[in-house]
Amino acid sequence: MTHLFVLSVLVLLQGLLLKAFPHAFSLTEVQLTLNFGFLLLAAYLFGEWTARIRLPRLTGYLFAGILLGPDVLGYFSPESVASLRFIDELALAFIALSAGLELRTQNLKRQWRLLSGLIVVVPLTVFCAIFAFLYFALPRVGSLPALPAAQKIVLAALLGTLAIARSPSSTLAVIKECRAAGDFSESVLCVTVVMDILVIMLFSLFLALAGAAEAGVPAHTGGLWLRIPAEFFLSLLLGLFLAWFMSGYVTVIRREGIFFLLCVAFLVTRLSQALSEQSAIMAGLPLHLEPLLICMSAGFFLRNLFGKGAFYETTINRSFLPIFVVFFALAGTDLDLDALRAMWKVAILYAGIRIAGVFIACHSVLALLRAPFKTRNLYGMSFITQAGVSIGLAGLIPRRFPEGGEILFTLLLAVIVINQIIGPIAFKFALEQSGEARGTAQKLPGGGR
Amino acid sequence: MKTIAGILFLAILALAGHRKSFVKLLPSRAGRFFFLTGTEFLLVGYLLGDSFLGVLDPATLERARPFLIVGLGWIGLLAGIQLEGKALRMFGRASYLWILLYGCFLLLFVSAGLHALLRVWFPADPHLGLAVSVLAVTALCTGQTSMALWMQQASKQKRPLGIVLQFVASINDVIAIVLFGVLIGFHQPAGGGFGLSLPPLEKLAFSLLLGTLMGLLLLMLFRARLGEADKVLIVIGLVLFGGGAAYLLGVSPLLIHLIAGAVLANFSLKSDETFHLLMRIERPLYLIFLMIAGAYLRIGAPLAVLLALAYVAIRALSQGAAGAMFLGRVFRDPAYPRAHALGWGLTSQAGIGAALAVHFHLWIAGPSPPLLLNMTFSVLLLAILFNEVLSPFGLAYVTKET
Amino acid sequence: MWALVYILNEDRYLTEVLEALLEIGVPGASILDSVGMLQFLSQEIPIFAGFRSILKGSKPYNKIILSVIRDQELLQQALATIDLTVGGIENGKRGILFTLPVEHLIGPGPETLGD
Repeated sequence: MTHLFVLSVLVLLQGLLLKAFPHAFSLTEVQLTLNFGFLLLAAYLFGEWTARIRLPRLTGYLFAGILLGPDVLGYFSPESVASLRFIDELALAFIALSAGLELRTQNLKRQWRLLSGLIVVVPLTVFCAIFAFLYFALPRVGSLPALPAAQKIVLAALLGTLAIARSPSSTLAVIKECRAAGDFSESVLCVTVVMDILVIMLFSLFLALAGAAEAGVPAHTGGLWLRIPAEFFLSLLLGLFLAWFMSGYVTVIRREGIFFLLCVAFLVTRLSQALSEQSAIMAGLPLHLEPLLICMSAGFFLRNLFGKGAFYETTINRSFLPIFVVFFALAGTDLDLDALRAMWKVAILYAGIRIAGVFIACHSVLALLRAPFKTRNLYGMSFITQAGVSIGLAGLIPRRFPEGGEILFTLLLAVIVINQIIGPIAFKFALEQSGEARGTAQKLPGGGR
Repeated sequence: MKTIAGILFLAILALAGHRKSFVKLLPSRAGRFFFLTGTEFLLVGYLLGDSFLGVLDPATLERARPFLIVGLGWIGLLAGIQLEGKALRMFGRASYLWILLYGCFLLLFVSAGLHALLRVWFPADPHLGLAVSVLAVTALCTGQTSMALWMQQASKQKRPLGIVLQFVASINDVIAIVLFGVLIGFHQPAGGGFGLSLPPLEKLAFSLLLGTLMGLLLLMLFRARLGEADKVLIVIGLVLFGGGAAYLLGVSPLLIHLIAGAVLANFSLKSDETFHLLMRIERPLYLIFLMIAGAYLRIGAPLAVLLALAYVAIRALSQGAAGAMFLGRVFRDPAYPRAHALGWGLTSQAGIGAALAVHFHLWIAGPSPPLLLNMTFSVLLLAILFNEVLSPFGLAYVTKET
Repeated sequence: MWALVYILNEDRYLTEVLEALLEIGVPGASILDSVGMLQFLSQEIPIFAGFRSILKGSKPYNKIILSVIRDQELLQQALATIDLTVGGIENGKRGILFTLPVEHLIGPGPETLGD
């Protein structure tokens, strides 16, 4: 009750200020103080309220973003959302590092059969299901112009790839909120993370193929086969170097962990951008280094090679909350309700097929391993989330396919809205059912009860 | 990129510096008059600024403004939380009266002196009244860092004297914050194009209202049992929100959060926890403020140095006189044989004084201030520096055996 | 039977440590306020909030967590848990943790100590 009351006072105040000084809200000073503070508090309070009705907090943060965003109440204009974008970069680095820290080699080794089964079968099933669905349904989607067969195949493949993408950030947020620990949560996180990396690599491959198909020339992907693994290993190498540097920091300085992490997150994102640009200029070969992968491998090496995981885990846990809250609230402002309104029928069908694919895959893998029926369902529920990377990659489609790309992009956004709302709720339920969630009135790390 | 690098560099300096500063400089007998009280970072900032190295160029300083607004709110909250009624009542009611009289006398004397002085160089300047009142209000601020460091090396019997000095200094700091908040009500903020165009009194009422509201919200949110991360989030969120609202309305975030802090201190059992939470970054925050203030500094003419010296002299003399008249009365006690000299121990002007300097630059002077306001800012910063050097000698005089 | 003594430097970890101990099955513990030697000797240097420091001293106290644990395995688990919760006692300089053998225990027994 208190939360809702404070929330309404804040919303009222902010509304009054917005009305009294509409022009002042374009000032950076106001965007980075008043708007930032308002988003932080409002999303946090909303999250506390959703926790009370036993939904994940992150759902509350998302809803706060949706409600306050440009689509509904309009408290946040697109430009004031853009002024807070720097949080996204930091948050992604933090999330990746944290995900890497959660992966422990000894546990992964013990579960290797399950993990490799899921990593191979889930993406394959989902890809095939969505590919088939779209290949046959594309001509019927909205007002899509008639497409040549080759392009239809490429587009279906691209969308199929995107359907594989999960949301490591949502998965991690729910795990942290439930303070879950154990084989189930760790394997879900691991599979989620690996699938995300897979998507990034596959997507650039298909996009290159698409370019070739469009131009009507045979695909010139010789460089690509080399480039993608090169990028992958270079990112891992950089992650190793970063982990070495960070473990050195713990040994030598040990202090101001939060500030150091912020610096690292900032430097990694900026440096990988700069390196990509440099390599494009110098070698004519745009190496795309994924900060996500660098940070994740750094976290993994810190935990498993250098043994300094605990320090960073605690540091991240203590500083996570504000970054998490703003990150998901911003993600909420990105969710495109108009898209959902326009294409909800196809979107529901699409999302349904994706979920069905996930369940079929999980059931078949776990049946092979003789897991009980209930566990098979739990894994199925854990792989619904979708966000972040998918939105970014989906944005490339209309740029590449001006004809019809917009419509597909809208469809994807609508599907992401659905998945992002159902996914965390289902995963939280699965975690509670698995018995790995500790305590029922959970908090994000560092939170009391 | 350069901007962000500059800000990061500043933060690293502050984090590294706050562990090295706040100490007595030389262990020898002659060296007991030299402390590192953080104020030296004014000089560091000046060196980093456009005048020398250019790390903190105007673009960087412009980008740092949101941070400074939040910092002011943070400081205000910190200063407000100490105003717990129970603690305030530990000192007799009469002592507040005498301290108030001391403050009034100081204000009057300093403003009269400065008005006479500044009129010589800026006879018809429209900002004359503003410059005088800013310098007079900030004259009330009293840094306590050198005081505490001095008392550490003084004999045990002198400790109560230190407590009295710190008490007077704290009350004057709070008065200065309130007066500065009122002062801001009279002036349209430098950015222009926003801020309520209300009469000063109503603006003050707005500050009170907003401050109380912030305090009540904080109070309500802190009623639940919260984890560390939640508390940090709530405090950061409210300071951001309140600071931004203050900037928008053209009122003082220091004052607003001072009130919010006082509300929290008096109606919540958790003010201690909040206080420790705020204290955690007090020193680095202070050093960043000092460095940015130093980077803003444009000394320009030797006149600024001269005026600063005059300001220091007028302030010190008024403090000595006012101390003898009012502070000596209330603390006349066999335990403090030299109570009439108390005023000389209040020379240091750092702490809240530096925060008000930054506040002045952000809210009133603006990025390209008129000549007199720029002069006012320079005089204030130079005076803070000079006073910091003088302060141990004043303290030595106060604590000398009779 | 073992006595576990943890002198925690930063009391912001206190709740988490206690909750973690409870979770692994340590039935109870006592919490004492304490002041370190250097803390006691050094006075806090105030900047913005001098009034508070003259009245209360603005430095938070250390907390001592005191618990008696019957079984060696649980003790080892408790040590590991505390280390994990505070992010590495040694890495973060978060206090001192030591154990002592306990010869006699008179009273309600470790199950209810501290309740």
